[in-house]
Amino acid sequence: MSAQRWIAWIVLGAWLVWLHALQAWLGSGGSAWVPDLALVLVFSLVARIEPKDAPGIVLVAVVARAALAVDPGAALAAGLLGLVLLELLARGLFELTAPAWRALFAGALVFAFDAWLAGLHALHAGIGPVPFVRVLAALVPAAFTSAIVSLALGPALAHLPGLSPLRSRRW
Amino acid sequence: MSSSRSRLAYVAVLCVLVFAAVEPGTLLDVWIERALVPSRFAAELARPFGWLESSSVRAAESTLAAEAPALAATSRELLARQAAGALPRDPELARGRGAVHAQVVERKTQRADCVTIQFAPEAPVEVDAPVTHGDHYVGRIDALSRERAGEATLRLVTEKSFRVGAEVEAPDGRKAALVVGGVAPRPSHGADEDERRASADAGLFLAVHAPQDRSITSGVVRVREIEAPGSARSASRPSGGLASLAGGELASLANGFRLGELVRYDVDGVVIFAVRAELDYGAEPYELAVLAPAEQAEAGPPLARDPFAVERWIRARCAVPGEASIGREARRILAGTRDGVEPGAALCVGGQLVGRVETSGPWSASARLAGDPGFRVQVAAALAGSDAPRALGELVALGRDDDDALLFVWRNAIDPPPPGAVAATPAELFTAPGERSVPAGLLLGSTVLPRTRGLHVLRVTQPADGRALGVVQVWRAAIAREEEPEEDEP
Repeated sequence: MSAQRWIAWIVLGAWLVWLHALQAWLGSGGSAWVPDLALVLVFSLVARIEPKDAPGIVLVAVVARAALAVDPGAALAAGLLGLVLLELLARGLFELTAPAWRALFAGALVFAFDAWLAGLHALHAGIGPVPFVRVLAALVPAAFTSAIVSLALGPALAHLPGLSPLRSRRW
Repeated sequence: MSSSRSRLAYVAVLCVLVFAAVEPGTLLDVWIERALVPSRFAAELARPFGWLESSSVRAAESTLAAEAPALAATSRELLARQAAGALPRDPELARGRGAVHAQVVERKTQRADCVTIQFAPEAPVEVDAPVTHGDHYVGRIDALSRERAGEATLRLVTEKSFRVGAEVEAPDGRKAALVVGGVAPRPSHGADEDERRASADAGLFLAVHAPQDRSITSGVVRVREIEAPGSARSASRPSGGLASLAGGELASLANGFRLGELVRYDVDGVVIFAVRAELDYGAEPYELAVLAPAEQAEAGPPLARDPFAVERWIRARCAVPGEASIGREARRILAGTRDGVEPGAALCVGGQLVGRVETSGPWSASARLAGDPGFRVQVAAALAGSDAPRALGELVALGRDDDDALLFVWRNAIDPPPPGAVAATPAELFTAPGERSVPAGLLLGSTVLPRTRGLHVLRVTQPADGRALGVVQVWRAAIAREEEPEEDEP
């Protein structure tokens, strides 16, 4: 692997940490309408990478997320790998770089990822079904705003400085 | 590798990861967590966001700073009232003895008759010292912790091999010696369902050994340890059994404390003597007094674990001052086991409980805040118009309502069932003793407490929103012996 690509992976990790920190800072007042910016970047990038780079994206995303989030590493890795595989499959069927599809998929996958983590948390914390439904309902605003961000900024996020060696011309 | 093979490999890895996520604690889960330990350093990239203090952070910090002195005073007063419950009420029992306040911090499920207690590290607690609650005898100190200052194992009177000298005083004034220790079998019950239930509800019975006078079948049983002539306080623990009766000066400090009422009943055709216990040793009490000679200990107990002692708190920075996990109220804390942060430890700001540590790695820890669904804590309530704080048991968080107030599930098992209208009392909620990692006396918030038996949802408002804070204090569950403070709280 060339030095450029090594640097690109490191830069991707830094962008993910910053976006994750930014979304946390935006949500410090308790607002539920904060998009999952880091996940939107991952989805924007996965729509444009070679399949062989998928494990690398998952690894970098897990490390970046584990730095700030409280979710267990295995849960993060399983969730991110599952969603990346799903997106790789979906991009063969849909044009995920087109505005409508990317917004739809980003919103749905952010909800699915957050619901996976919330489900695990509910399972391990012994939370009953009623509080869990409340938690799921609280995830909808974040998924909605993530879809909007993907619609408006998806291509821009995928073209953040330093990430060009990871993008493929084929996609 | 062909495309289909690589897909198969991805799916296999995904399945393994899902298993590790659903079943925490497996070897794979542990390896993944270890592999992610260096990610703590990636968190440093987010440090600039910590400098961007929002107005809500400043508001929360100034509110807590302004209220901290008043809160500390209220909390100390509450703790003092709780601690006073451990002192003997009978003036005769209070005379000529010192008492060191102690709190139960751990009950081991495998050794239910041995509990861990904590007390002020400088307190004169010795092995074999009697432990009491109010006018009741509870047990004696079994061993002092070698690693942790101010911590000891207490052997309860219910332990199988425990023996304590006692004396029964019959209603007609006659007295007789006996030995008490361990748990006696319950009275036999008949085939009738009511009799069976009555037997189960009869409470706990302590076993009686070698009663001096079998004609006495009822009366109050009190501790009466024999002072062996010339016996000195032993540094080593007696091996149990009757050897402990000659425990000397320390053991005799327990003389006069109640064990319960002498009873005689039938067990499968055999008539036995037993003492009906007046404490539920399996569930209470949490506040205790360790007896010591009067010249060594103060008459009134100091606080076992002062929640405002500076040396008991570790200052820790949050990786980001906000929600890093959507749908949760949780924080990554940039301090770990190397700094003394243990799982379960309380997170506090200005005397207010804001959360607890969930898991702790070498350099960082994850913490859940009080509004995180599933957050649990033992709580006591200071009721308006009532002197004595009331233990409520465990509260479990449901999250927050639309006004950002905390919602907790609480099972009221103390008050009578609802006769009709639901009565409620305003109350301040504080953390209760009983947990090693959470000191009693931290404010959780204000609520209106329903006074009827059953399951309730409590709406709790806090003076300041803990979610906005970027720096928190983490409770140190214990002070290592080499760190033992030589002076009182700074």
